[in-house]
Order: sequence, then structure tokens, then C-alpha cells
Amino acid sequence: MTTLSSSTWGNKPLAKKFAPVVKAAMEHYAQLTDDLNKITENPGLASLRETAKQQFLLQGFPTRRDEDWGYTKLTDFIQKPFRLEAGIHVTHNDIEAYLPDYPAVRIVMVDGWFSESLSDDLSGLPKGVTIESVCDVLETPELTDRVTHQEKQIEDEPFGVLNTMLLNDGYYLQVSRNVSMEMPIFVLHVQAQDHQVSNVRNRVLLEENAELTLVESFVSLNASESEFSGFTNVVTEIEVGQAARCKQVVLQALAPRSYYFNNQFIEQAENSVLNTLYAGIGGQTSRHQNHLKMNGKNIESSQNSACYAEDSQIMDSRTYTEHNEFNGVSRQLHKYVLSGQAVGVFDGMIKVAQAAQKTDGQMDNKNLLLSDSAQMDTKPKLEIYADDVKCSHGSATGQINRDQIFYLQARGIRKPQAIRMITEAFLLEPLETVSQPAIRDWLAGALSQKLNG
Amino acid sequence: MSEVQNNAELTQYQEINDLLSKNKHYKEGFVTTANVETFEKGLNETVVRAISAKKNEPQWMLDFRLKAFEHWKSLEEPHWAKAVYEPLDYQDYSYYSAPECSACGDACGTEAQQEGIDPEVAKAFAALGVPIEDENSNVAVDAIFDSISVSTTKREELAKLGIIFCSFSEAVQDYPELVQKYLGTVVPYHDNYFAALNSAVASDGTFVYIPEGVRSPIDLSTYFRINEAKTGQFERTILIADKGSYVSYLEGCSAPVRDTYQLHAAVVEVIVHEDAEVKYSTVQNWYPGDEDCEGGILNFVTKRGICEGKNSKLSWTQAETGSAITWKYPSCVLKGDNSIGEFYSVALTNRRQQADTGTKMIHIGKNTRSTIISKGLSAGKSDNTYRGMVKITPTAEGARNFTQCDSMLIGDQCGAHTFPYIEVENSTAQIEHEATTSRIGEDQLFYCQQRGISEQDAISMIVNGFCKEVFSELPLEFAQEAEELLAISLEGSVG
Repeated sequence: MTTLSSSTWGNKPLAKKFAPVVKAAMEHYAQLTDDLNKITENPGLASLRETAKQQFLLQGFPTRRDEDWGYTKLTDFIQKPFRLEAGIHVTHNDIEAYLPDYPAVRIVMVDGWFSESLSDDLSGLPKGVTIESVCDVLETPELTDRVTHQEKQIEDEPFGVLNTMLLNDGYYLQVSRNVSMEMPIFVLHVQAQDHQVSNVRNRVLLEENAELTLVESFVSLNASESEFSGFTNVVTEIEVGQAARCKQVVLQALAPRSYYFNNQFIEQAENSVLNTLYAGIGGQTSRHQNHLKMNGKNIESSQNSACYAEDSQIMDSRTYTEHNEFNGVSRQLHKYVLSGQAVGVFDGMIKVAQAAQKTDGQMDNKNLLLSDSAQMDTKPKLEIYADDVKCSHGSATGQINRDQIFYLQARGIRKPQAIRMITEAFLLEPLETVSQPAIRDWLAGALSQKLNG
Repeated sequence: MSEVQNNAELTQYQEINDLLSKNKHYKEGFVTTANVETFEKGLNETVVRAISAKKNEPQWMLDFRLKAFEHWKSLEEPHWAKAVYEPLDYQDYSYYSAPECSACGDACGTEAQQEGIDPEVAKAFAALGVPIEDENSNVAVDAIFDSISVSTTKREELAKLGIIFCSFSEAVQDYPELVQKYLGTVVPYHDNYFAALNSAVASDGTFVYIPEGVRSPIDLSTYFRINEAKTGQFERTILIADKGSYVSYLEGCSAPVRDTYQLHAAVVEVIVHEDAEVKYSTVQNWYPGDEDCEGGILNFVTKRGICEGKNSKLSWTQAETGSAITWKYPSCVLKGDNSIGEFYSVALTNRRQQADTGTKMIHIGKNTRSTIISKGLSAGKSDNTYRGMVKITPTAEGARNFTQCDSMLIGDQCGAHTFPYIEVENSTAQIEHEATTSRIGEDQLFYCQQRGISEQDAISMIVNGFCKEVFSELPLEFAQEAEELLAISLEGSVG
């Protein structure tokens, strides 16, 4: 007899079959894990990678039949296995152009490796602020847990599993209790070599009442070589302590044939504030994911993205927001401008647990299609288990309103410029959530340049 | 939260629970004891053949069934809907059950059927308020009892206009060329798991054909009744509106109180030609089961319509209040230029009901327009999900969609979810989607009470206002029925 109470369904093991090309790619990455494990002296790390490898060999890469991957095609990616080799020498001159025009503490990661020579001297940081290379931390086996705090959800993400398999370097950033780090920390992630994996695992820790501004910029050095292709795979765990304030900006401006996957697992405690913005303009296929858990009362969070895709770019930005406690406020605005044959994907979920009464959650997704062959797929979702909540989502897709162009033309502005002005104004709206003018201007500059270039 | 507040909420919810428990009584829950012929439980090729033989079907229909059955065997039961249930044991159901009187002899003739209605069955329909013998009624009714259609009224009157309104089984006999032309064109037998199952063991259903240029003067309707325990009802309905025609079609359903799950897997295909308009309304009130929704109806329905010709219009309106589990997505394929698709839905879940319902709007033709208005109300420990897709293909120049999904939660044990899928492949399209979740606000109640309106009336006003956009789309009698159904469950409850 059938009953509703049981929920045992779904655990049956599936014997997956893989196409030869997928199988080859899987074996390639498994081999990279083995190579890394041969040289490590940290048994804890080796077993961590090995476990992930076993899981990966069982699951393989997601396909378009997977609910979460239906819009993000990986076929091209799987066909070119990326290497994992020691970093090449990159000079200060090489990265000069990518540095910000405002004062910041600089960290540089080259092909996923922490570069001590290019980064600022980290011993001179204000009291209570610690930045270390994950690779250094892992040299002491006892500290493995410090950088690989097991967030269970990482295992649910195929690229999270791949990240653990190839775990080697990244940055560990800690801001102690009551410390306010006023100067932004600027992390430059550089893809330097062609066909290289940049595997980055970061951990950011804000203790009680701490404050941090973190800016991350992803670039490719040889972007002028049209065939240059790198693969950046990031997992960042961010813990925002009680009443702590975390501001984050991520700019992804990789080469047009590069791949970018970023999974951010963020946990917020009581009274904390999070503000994160993703600006995506580069990459062949890029996917930026926030997994946010609002685990305390009176939390505020704001997640935004501004994406511009052209040619055959696939640009995917996702948020998963869990309201777990009383009186949380979450705000989201995701804007896409698509031209050429670009594909934009937005997937957002607001989940409100039963305990999260008085939640106020709002998610907006607005998309502008500039060409007839561009495509936008969006899934704004709500899953709500508490009754006293105010939750809404909105999504709109369309083209530029002809009236708007006309009004500008009536004021003597040429049509192409009018279109540019309207597009730019549309795309830059999420940037208004960035409170520091210097960072906002820097970001607006990068987006406008792309839009008008 | 302070203790005082806590207590206040407790009593508040206590009130709701009391009210909801009063509603335990499902008035359509009586059982009819008629002489019935029921197949042994189980499903295999022999059963499929036997169903076909029982209905004296031509070879092509049997072939269709067998093809579907073969395909069904290769499929896995889908579980992606937001509903938890154990995989069904398809061998534990009977796939054919019919009152004997009308099943005897070759029961295809109308006369034989009309006269041959088992008095018990007739009584059942009378008790349900379905006018199967009332010649003065202003609707034509096709009454379906378990696996067969027992009565179809007003046929002659409609026939004068060229309208075909009969049971699906009769259509297979009398209008084979029409059935063959349209069967499986909108919902192919391989469409999904339950559509395949339906194609294999299709019981009965309604067949409607409105000829060119005819406006159906009365509403056509079908009333489905599942009576036998452990049987499945797999009706197949085909509705064709030829050029420039119009029809409003209504559908109602109920089942007795049982302690085991009944399966209902229907397929509805609607074809709308040039300049034609179809209004398809459903009030779904299947037995939802006991307190824990044990024994309710599992309602896995595939409904889809195609706006084949230019300027055609298809409008789905549904009020979903019953069933333990609902899995239903009435969809529109907007193929003809300037065609219009509409979906209006009120879904109410209570106790442990789980509803996953919504629509698909596939825009193919130029200047196609669609509107989706969905109102979800969840109470008790239920889960109510809206799942919908709006797809604009590259050819759909100037397509327009507006979607609004509002959910209301009543009590803090239930869930309301919204899962929209929006795929836009044409830049001239304009797509808007909005969703909100709320409850009956304390301030709303306060303002009403301040003006001398009692809490009960205020709630009823607010809930009705919440659903008004949808109810106004229902034909009059149905709107009333839907409002009553809603009122029974909701009066007096405060979120």
C-alpha cells in the first residue's frame, strides 16, 4: 500500500553511462588529483581529494538533463581538458593594467597559485587582519580544517567536487572581532597560461562585529590572443559573524574563450549585513553561484548582478538564499544585457524556513535583448514555509522601448548613442548598491568600456 | 517573540484548526452500490487488449494502445514534482470498471445507454447535482462513471447545429476518421509517463467537435465520478473547435471516501482552429483523503491545447480544491499568428494535500499573447506549488506574456512555492513575471473590523478579493460552486 509519509524515494544508486569524450575528461581530471596527491605530505588533504575524486568518477559532469544544468551547456568545456602545471613567471608590468585606481591591499593569484612577489607585503596588515596562502596553511596538516571547513553543500555542486579534487591554493582571510578593515582588499585572479586550470579555494572569516570590503577581479593576461582559453574554478566559503558587515564585489572579465565557475558558500550570523555584487563580462561559459544561508535573526543581505554577454557567450548567475530565522531582509537585483547569440541564465531561489517569520525577501531579474538571436532563460523561484512573510519576485525581458530612443533623438542625440546610453543606464543600476564611490566608478568603467568597445 | 504574542497566535491557529476540522466532511464522499463489472487488478498486455475488446474498438485504436503500453514500460515514474509519495504499484489497480446495466449488450447506442442507466448510478448523479436527465437544463452533460460514459444529454439538439458531443468510446465507433486525425496530435502517447499510461488504458472521456462558424449555444460539460475502490480512471478528452467556432466547456469531478489511493490520469487534447475560441473550465474536487490525505485521489493530468490557426484563443480556468496530490499543467501551444492563450487558476490545499500545478505557454506564432494568473492558497500542513513555463521561440515575433502568481499562506505549517521557467529567444518579446507571497494582514483585518465588518466577513472578503480575477473567468454556476468550495474551507481563518 502506498503512503505519503515515507520519503525513501530518491536514494537509489544510478549506474551512469558516459560518452567516451566525457569519460576521457573525467579520467584526465582524476589523473590530476593523483598527480597532486603524489607530492603532498599532508595525508588529510590527500584523502579529502581522493574522496572527492571517487564521487566525481561516479557522477561525472552534469548534462543538460540535470535540472540545474539545462541551460548551461558544457559540451565545449568537456572537449578540452585543462592542464595543471606550476605557475609561470608573471611580472608586475604584466598585471599593471588590471590593478585598481584606488588604494587597496593587493593579493595576486596566478593560475590559481598565490603569488607572494606580486602581492602586497601581508605582514604589514592592520592588527586583527590575517591573510595567508591556503597552500602555506596546508603545509601544517593539523590546520587542514581551517581552510577546508566542510560545508556539506560543496559536494552537491559538480564543480565544487572538482574544486576539492584539485584543492591546492587560494587565500585565507580573517578579520578579528571588532576590527574594521577600512581599506578594501583587492584580489586579482590571473589566468596566465593557455589551457590551464586555475583552481582556487578561499575561506573568508569575519568575526563578531568585523567589517570587510573585498574586491575580486578575474582576468586573462593574454586576452589579445583570440584562442586563449583558461579554466577558473573557485570555491569560496564566507562566514559573516554576528553583527559583522561584509561587502564584496566580483568582476569577471576573462578572455572570450575562457571558462569560469565560482561557487560561494556564505553563512550569515545574527544582525550581520552582506552585500555582494557580481559583474560578468567575460568568458565563453561562466557561472557564478551564491549559496547563502541567513542563519540568525535580523540579517540583511543584498545580492546583485550586472551581466553583459555578446557573441556566443553563455552567462549564468545563480543565487540560492535561505532565510532560516526571524526578521531577515534580502534584496536582489539581477540585470542582463544580451547581444549576438549570447545566452543569459538566471536562476534564483528564496527559501523561507518555518522559523523565519517576518521575512522580507525580494528578487528582481530584468533582461534586455539587443539581438534577435540572443536568448534569456530565467527561473526566479520561491519556496516558502512561513506565513508571516513578504516575499516577491519579478522578472521582465524585452527590448529597448522605442519611445525612449525617440525622446533622446528629439533632444539631438544620435540613435546609436541613444541606444548606448539607455543600455548603459540599464546595466549599471545594480552598481548603486556598492557604497564606496571609488569601487563603483572602477566597476562602472569596466562595464561601460565593454559595452562601448 | 513574546509569550503573550505566542499565546495569541496559538489561539488564533486553534480557531483555524477547529474550523478546518469542521470541514472534514466531504459531502461528495458517498459510495454507490451498483452492479459493476470490474477487471481483476493488474496491468499487462492482456488487460490492454481486454479493455479494447470490451469497448469493441477497431484495430487502429488497439494498435495505439499497445504502442503506448510498450513505451510506458520503458519509462520511469516521474518524481520531480514538489510532492512526496511512494512509487505507485500499478499492478494493484483495476483498469476497467463499469456499471453492468449499461455495459451489457453493445452499449454504443445512445438510446440503450439512456434507458440503461442503473438507477443507483442515476441517483448518484442526482445527488451530485448533475442534470443527466433534466431536459430543461442549460448545459449539455456527459456523465462518466468509472470507466464508461453513462449518459450524454442534449445530443440531438446539438447535432442539429452539427456539433458532435459524445463519449470518447462512441466517437471511436462513430467518427473514427476524426478521432484518428486528432488523437495524440497534441499530447503524443510518448509525451510523459502518465500520458503514456493513459494512452494504453484510456477508459472513457468526452469527444467534442464544433463545426466551422458555429457558436455552441449552451455550455458543454463532463462530470467524472470515480466510484469503485482501487480503480484508476483514465479519461481521454478531445475537443476540436473548427474555424470561427466558439465553445465553453466545463468539467467537474468527485469520488467517494476510500482508504486507499485512487489513481486519476487523464489526458485532454484541445485543438483550436483559425478564429475559434475555446473556454475550458474545471472545478476539481476529487476526494482529498482523510486528515493525513491517506486514500485521496492522485490526480496526474496532462492537459494541452494547441492554437492551430490565426487569431485563435484558448482559455483554461481551473479551481483546484481536491485530490491528495495534484500534478497538472494545462498548457497552450500558440502556433497560429495572433493567437491568445490564457490560464486562470485558483488552487487551494489543506491538511496534507500537495498540489504542483501551473501551465506552459509555448509561443511560436507572431504576435501571440498569453496571460497567466495563478492564485495559490495553502492551509493546514499542505504544500502548494505553482510551476509554469513561458517559452518564446525565435519565430514568435512580438510575443507578449504577463504572469502573476500570488500565494497566500494560512497558518504556519504549510508551504507555498513558485517555480517559474522563462525562456526567451526573441528580442521583440515582452515578458513580465510577478510573484508575491503574503497572508491575510493583521492591518487589513483591523481596517475592516474598524468599519464594523466582522472578522469572518472580512476574511471571506479578502480571500474572495484575492481570487476574484480568476473566479470572474469561470462560467456563472461554476464560479458559484468554486466560491462555495473555498468558503467551506476558509471562512474564519486568519493567517
